[in-house]
Amino acid sequence: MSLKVLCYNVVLLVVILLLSIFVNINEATKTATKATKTTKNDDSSYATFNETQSFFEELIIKPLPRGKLMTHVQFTTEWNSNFLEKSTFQHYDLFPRSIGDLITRVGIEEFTLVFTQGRWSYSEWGYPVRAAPVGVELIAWMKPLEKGIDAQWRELTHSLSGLFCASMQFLYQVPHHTSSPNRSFRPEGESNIYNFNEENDENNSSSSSSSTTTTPAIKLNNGTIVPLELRYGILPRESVCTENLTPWVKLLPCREQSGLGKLLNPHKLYDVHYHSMSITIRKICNNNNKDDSDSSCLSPTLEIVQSLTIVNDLNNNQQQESIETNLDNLFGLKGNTGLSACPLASRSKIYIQKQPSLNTNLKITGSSGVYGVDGSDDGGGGGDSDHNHNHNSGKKETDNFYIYDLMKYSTNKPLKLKMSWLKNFKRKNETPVVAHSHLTGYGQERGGIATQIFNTENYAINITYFQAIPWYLRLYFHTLKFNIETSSDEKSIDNHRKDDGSGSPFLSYKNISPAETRSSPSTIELSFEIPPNSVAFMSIEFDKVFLHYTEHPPDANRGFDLGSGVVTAFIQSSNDNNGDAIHLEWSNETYNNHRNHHSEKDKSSKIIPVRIYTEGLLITLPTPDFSMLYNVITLTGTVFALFFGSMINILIRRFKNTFTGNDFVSDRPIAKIYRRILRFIDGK
Amino acid sequence: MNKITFRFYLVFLYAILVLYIGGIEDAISHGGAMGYEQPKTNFYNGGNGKADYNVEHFFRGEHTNNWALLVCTSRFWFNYRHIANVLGFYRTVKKLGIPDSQIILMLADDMACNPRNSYAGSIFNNENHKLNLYGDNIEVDYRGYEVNVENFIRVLTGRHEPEVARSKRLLTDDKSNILIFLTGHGGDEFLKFQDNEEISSHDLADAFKQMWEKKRYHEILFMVDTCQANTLYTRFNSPNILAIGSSKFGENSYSHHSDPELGVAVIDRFTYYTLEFFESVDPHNVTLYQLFNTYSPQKLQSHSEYRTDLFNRPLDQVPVTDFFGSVMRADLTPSTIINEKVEKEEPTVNNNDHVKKQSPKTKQISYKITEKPTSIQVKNNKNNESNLFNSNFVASSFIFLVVFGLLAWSSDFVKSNLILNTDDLKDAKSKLKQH
Repeated sequence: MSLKVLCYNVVLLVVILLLSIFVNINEATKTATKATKTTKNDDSSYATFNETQSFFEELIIKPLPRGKLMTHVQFTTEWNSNFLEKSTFQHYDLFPRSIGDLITRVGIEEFTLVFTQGRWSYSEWGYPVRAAPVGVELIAWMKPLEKGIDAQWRELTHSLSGLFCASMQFLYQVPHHTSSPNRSFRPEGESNIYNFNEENDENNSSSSSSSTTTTPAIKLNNGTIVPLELRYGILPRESVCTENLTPWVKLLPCREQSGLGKLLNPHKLYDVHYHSMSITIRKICNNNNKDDSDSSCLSPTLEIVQSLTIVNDLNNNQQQESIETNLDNLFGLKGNTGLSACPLASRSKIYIQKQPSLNTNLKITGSSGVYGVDGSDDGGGGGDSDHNHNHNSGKKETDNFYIYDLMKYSTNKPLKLKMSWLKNFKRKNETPVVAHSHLTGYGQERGGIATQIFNTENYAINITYFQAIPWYLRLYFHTLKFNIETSSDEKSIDNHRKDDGSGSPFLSYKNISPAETRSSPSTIELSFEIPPNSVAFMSIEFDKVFLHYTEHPPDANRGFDLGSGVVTAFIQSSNDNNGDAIHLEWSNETYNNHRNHHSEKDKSSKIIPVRIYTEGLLITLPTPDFSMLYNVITLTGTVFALFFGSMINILIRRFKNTFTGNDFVSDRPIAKIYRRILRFIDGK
Repeated sequence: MNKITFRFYLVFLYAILVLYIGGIEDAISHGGAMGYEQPKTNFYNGGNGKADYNVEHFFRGEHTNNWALLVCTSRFWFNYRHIANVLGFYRTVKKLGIPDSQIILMLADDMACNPRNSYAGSIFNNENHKLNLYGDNIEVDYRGYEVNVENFIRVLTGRHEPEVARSKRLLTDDKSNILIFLTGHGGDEFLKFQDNEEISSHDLADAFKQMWEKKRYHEILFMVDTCQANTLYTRFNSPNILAIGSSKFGENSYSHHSDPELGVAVIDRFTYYTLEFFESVDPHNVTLYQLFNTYSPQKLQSHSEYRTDLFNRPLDQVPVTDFFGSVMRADLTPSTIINEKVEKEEPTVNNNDHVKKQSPKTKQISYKITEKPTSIQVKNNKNNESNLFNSNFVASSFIFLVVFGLLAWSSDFVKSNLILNTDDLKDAKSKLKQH
């Protein structure tokens, strides 16, 4: 054992020596782009890796029922370096500098910012690659700095609003929608700095899913462990338009000039059914950097994932049975130039989802003839087998995808894709978990919110539900009802109606905090296990608060938007779904190297946390007659001016001759001198 | 000695004193309190002398950077034309070279991605739909609820919270020319923001005054396209502001035409003819005078008037690019260290010589910038020929003291020695007794 360690140390020493020589040589030759660095960790082990920055781009296309088409463009920039040193953030290559500055200044470990317009129909379309609520959502994990977490959050929101031309600073200034949920969000990345606190083991035993009870923490250089702080905010009213896309595109190395970035044509992107644009920054662990003990990696990689999901509605011709489209028309490419890879990208691929279990009859025509025919009942045909071997021309076929490698295409020989599929194909399985929320009640005085969560699977699913409700809805927590109904067999669950305490058999976790007027929203966070084929109902009632006159927005009569509720479902990814309902298992294919749940899957039961957002709600608060104020002021002013003013004048005014001739003379010496001078000059 | 001649002498002394003090003040403000005489004009353009400096600045203006603040204050879909107005200006100034980082664009509503807009992501200011103003590359700095009076005043005066991003700030200095364009719904001396609050002409005047005192601008072109727009600039009292409005007191500002496909009016008349002017001429060869003369009441259906009394330059010599275009020019200002050296060596050294001497040290100059000459002082430089030497200052103050003392005691002096006419003396005494 000791011999081993000794050997290890010796080897390390040699490596370091070699490295130092190498670094010296490097400095002499001034090759700064690829330097080899050593990272010192706390347990005095060294990480050796190349400082690299790389860029990947992917496009995923999935036909949806009723003439819809989902396209998901994803750009990933990775940066592998020593992030414990401040000087790292002074040289940038592919990684955008504005983001690097933000990370160092605000102390961000991870953040996700999503702009969304339109609503993803979970029951009809399955799950998206990245679910998002309507409006702007910002999830930030920050390591506490000296200035305090609130100052960091404030700085982050202000910086992001400047960066992305949106009004994120309202998340700080008007904290209706900012909260910090305990269980609904986990850091998406993984790296050596995330140490999970093991103190709350007793919670572990009580709860069903152990991965949600711990708090993510960070191990600082001096060895202390500080928990990461989460801030979560939704701006449901924020619009998304070209001005948000412009700075987002500017973060890409190739911008909109080449590669998949050419697809980002604002005129087509905003003329769609659903539009969601996101940016995620996280630290991940690449396989090659991993230590032997697989839980920690010594050199995290900083990653920016920029993704854009749109759902086009191609259903313009009612009679037609099948939909035909090509990529150039879909995105309005200028001059039908076709696609080729961005020259800076190390990977550039197009994935077209086959959905082999469905009757989609998908046909794809690339630049060179018909490529793929859908497998399930159309029979595939001869073209399939031919092109399976055609790897060097940039085409590949797997069980779930047709894959085009854009690196094999050039601007001279670009890829032009044509697709056609049956319009009215049926989905085989229902989406496992779907959630809806509604407003109840009527009138402008009180109301209620009701949420339903459906489980259509044959096994029980763990659910965490979170909703933040602004303070201007005064919640009555005694009216919180929670109820699970099973549709198939009534007797299986003993329904405890009206859960008004901790005695619920369902709720494994409950965190309810009331609102503070004008400073924080009330939050409800519940964890429970939903039985197979059943529906969970939740409802709560509230009073609507009279707002101050100045607290109303300019368009107060439109109503006030309520942010979406977040449902996190831990769904087993089973193989028989076959890329239909659970959308996430394509990630095995595309994100093999850098997806965090990849490792989890290998280890255990393939339970994937899937996030679903309920609908955003619009609430009409009692609004005053805004012109009434002016009427009152005008009337009162007139009365005062005409009547009261003149009366006061007559009653109080005394008439007196105040200034007669020379009787006002100053006695100050300078005045005397002045008088003398004047008199002298006048000659008197 | 005659009494009258003595009085004349005194008055004459007074006059000289006043002139001299004026000269000193001027010299102080010009040369700086350190008391050196630096021929900066020569420093700017290699010793060609002051005439050239003036001529050069006459043609290209005295500003070094251009900014634009374009504000649409109206919300709601039926105010589509106001967004289109602002975006028309945005496109024009961007085309003429002002970068996005120096344009603060405030749009009170989202028209391009409005569900009512049948052309998603596009805004047109003409029914022929030829020109999409929203483009592929637009940066809106303030939008939606952010467009309010508070933020507008904050942008003007620069009093932001410390966290506010740079892109949302008007980072101007005393060499900046600013184009301010406002459009929305207004009335007699006010402009509405989002149908919710108003900014008054007094607020605007105060903000500009504050900007002037904080040296945040060199010149401002203030354009308003709203009803009764001319009333908005009546209260201005800060120098170097040129203001023009679309309609006078009591008049409406009308829209130009409406688009049957969108169902709303797409542009206002004032803006339409401004943009038409920029499209029809070579913008680098026209002056503001020509621009302002295109606004005829027949075309606008309102009376556009401009106010020049605060503006120092004649309009027919101000190219439109002074405000609508961009100048990226850096003036090298002498560093304090080099000035001290020059002063120590030889104050009257030939300027050409020391420019030559310093030419290898240009890098140093660029790093040590002390902003000494300002635009205000360049303008008032009638008396800056008078040099300020310490000895002169001492002499002048000595003279001042002597004269002041003389004056203070003149009455006694007159009483005892000089006054010949005793009637005057009696007269004075009797008057004193009266008090």
